[in-house]
Amino acid sequence: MTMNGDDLTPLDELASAYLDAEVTPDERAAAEADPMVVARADQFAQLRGLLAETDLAAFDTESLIAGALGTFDDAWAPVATVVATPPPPASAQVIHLADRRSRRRPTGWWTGLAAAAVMVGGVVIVSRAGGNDTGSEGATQTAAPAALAPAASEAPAAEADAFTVEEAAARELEIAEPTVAAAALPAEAGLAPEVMAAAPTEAPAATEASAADEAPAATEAPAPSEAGSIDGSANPADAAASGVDDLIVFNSEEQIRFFVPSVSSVNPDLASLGRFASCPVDGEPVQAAAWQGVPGTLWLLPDRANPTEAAVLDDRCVELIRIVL
Amino acid sequence: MDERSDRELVAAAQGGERAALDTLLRRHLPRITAVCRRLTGNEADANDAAQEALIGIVRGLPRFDNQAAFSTWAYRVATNASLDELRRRRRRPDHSLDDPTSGWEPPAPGSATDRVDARITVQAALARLPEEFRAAVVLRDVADLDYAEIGEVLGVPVGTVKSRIARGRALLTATLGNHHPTGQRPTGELER
Repeated sequence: MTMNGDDLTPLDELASAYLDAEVTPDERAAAEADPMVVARADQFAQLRGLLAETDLAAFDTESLIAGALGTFDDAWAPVATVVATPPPPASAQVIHLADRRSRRRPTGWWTGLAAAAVMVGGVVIVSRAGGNDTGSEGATQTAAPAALAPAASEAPAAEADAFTVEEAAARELEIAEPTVAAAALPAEAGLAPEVMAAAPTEAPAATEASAADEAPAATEAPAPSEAGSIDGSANPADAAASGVDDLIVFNSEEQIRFFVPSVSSVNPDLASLGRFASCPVDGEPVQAAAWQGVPGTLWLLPDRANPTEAAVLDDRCVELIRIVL
Repeated sequence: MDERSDRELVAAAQGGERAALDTLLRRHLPRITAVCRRLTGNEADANDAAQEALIGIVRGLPRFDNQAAFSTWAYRVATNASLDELRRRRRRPDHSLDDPTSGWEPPAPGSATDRVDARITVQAALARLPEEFRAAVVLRDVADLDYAEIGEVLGVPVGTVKSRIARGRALLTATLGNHHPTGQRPTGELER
């Protein structure tokens, strides 16, 4: 017999299918009426027994599981958030989303998930949980609910490519207020950290974003249940007290559209809460949820099958916008 | 012991429950590793393939929609990881399985090593099978998938699955017969 199986006999084919119970009633009857077919099927059955015997001792199962869970942990790492204190606008840096996007390949659902990106229009209200410290320590608390912002481990590392406010000005960006915030995602997670932030000189966004990229493990992933701790406080101080360490406010649709050129909708009904928009992140449709209690806080959420998911995070979530690309 | 169904565990894992994922992976690990072992032909590659498979499962879990059984999908991932590993191995200069039966010598009949030897023999015979036959046979006899599921995994019609399995089994039987310790083809029973 050759190793290409060209000489398969009808007997073998019938015996094999009979063994697997993948025969019609007529075939079954024919098989059972032929002792040669039954004998061949028995032979194949013994072969199956041999094949099924595998020495699993050769596998380090704990190591395999640990490796997989490590990937899971990476994927569910929180968004590393860097929050800066108000800087002079002229010294601010803006990480341009479009530039970042152009360097990233689409990475699918996980990317969209983890790209719980925080968008910053020129004006940002910033508060820090636990005090006024700035710098790299700022990248220790998640800005997005873990349940909605896992990171993708297969995505490329994020880079902090920034351009300056002067460039922003060239784009006719009107930055009305001097406060900025930045958000970055773990590089290993490779999420599109749609860091649309203007960072202050004292605490450069690019630097901190880079730090977050290089040390994603330094962030602590909150348990899903902790998502509820993201309190829709009525003001930044309350938010800070509740553990929310960054609040981001878009002041105008223009700002949103500058930072998110591909923005596809802005819901005017939310004007009283700030301005909100949603946009595709790396080609992935996302949903944006507006938190009533935290004016201007914008969470980019993945396009999930269950559009009410945001509502379970906080009943003050007043609207979820689904974007159709 | 977590007695939740695969579907429940998948949903929990998709929601971020680490323990659910742990349970899910442990539940299916034996077959995943068996598939990898049988498809790659050696322990080192099988370990690599199994690790890749598990990571692939974790990464793909958010997109898993339960349209197929989790096990079917998981074995598909394991199969693909194993075949990828084989392709990588082919690109390496050292093909340890170019002739997996070379140097094989039949054990003395009745020896204590019979069983282990039978394992080695089966693996060697399996490694000689054309890849498409090997995958079909392994998915059927190791992963216990039905023809439709195998067709789904391999991307071929059920009829093709049927013939590949039959051909693979016939070839394996012939190979094992040629390597049978007595030098005779097994007619009614395979030596264990």
